[in-house]
Amino acid sequence: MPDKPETAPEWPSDWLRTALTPCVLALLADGPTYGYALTVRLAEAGLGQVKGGTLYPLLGRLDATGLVATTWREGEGGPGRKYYALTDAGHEELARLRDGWGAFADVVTGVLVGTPTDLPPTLDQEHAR
Amino acid sequence: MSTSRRQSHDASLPAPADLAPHVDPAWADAFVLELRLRGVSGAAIGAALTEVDSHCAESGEPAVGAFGDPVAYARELGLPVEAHQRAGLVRALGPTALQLAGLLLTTWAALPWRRGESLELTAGHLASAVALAVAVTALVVGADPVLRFVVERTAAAVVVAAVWVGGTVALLVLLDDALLVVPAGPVLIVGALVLAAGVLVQLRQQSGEDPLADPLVSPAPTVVVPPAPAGRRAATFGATWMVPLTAVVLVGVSLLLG
Repeated sequence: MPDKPETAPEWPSDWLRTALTPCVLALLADGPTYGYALTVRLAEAGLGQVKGGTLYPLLGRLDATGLVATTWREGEGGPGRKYYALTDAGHEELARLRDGWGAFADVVTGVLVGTPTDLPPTLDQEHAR
Repeated sequence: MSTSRRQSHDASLPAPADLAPHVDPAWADAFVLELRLRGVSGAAIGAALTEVDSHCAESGEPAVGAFGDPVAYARELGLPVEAHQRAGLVRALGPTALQLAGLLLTTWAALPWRRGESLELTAGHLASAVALAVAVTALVVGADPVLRFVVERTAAAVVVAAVWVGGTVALLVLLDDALLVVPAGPVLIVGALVLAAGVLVQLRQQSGEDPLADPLVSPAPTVVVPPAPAGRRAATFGATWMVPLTAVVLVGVSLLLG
């Protein structure tokens, strides 16, 4: 595993938008947790500072689609915390995304790094043959 | 109407700052206002605001830093809109509409009755009644856009209201051909009864659940919501008695001048 950079990298926002849902589901698979703790763990994982304005609407969509269930619990001295727990449907979605993401990442890496033999021939190559 | 009930009712109407002490009050107000204008329930707004407060308390970040613009964040959340808001609005506006009808009838009939004359109902009378009905209907049908207009463009809304009142008065003065002559006394009595009915219905509603109150409720177990200030009670009093008091003053002036 490569060393994590000292300062959080600024990933392109559209990459993050795509990757955030699978990552949040994966972190929730470790056990129920709340929004702020998720931002800390996402940052520790190297995804950078995910803002509350991005994370909570995403959690709300997961809740609305039944992938997570929520409960309010007492915080330590502060206000209450809303805990998010993965439902059965959430576990299924995570499994589906894990499989799909691996295949997708292989394809993208193949295109970017260039392993031509794995790729279907381009039209030019077809003609040359 | 029992006093204890009113007190518990008032205590259930917290301000945003009470629910979210770690959030900049201006940010919280703008956030709650936008969600209110979108027709989101008080419980859902309370939950969203408490979560913002919780995040700010633990991260030490200001709300604007973590969540950005409050209006944009409120929209981004996509919270469900209450379906039965309109029924509550009709219930709330019904008594006021009755009171306004009573106000019109009593003020029309007072002066002729004082002078011992008949009431000459004119096209202007009918037109002003229609203008009132249109305004009330517009409020019920287009409540959300009307409310948003009043809140976001208050100056323009005041101009519209002034033009509406001026136009109604102008109709009353200009269209003065008598269509129908009716005895003033019975109209005065009917008007007073309609007015009283409007007040009674409103008082009855207040002794129960306020259909428009829909208080902000925090789902967090540790949040203690302090009672709302006494201003709320004054506002409720004003909403119930403003139209009847106006009618009494106008009719009183008519009787004195007549």
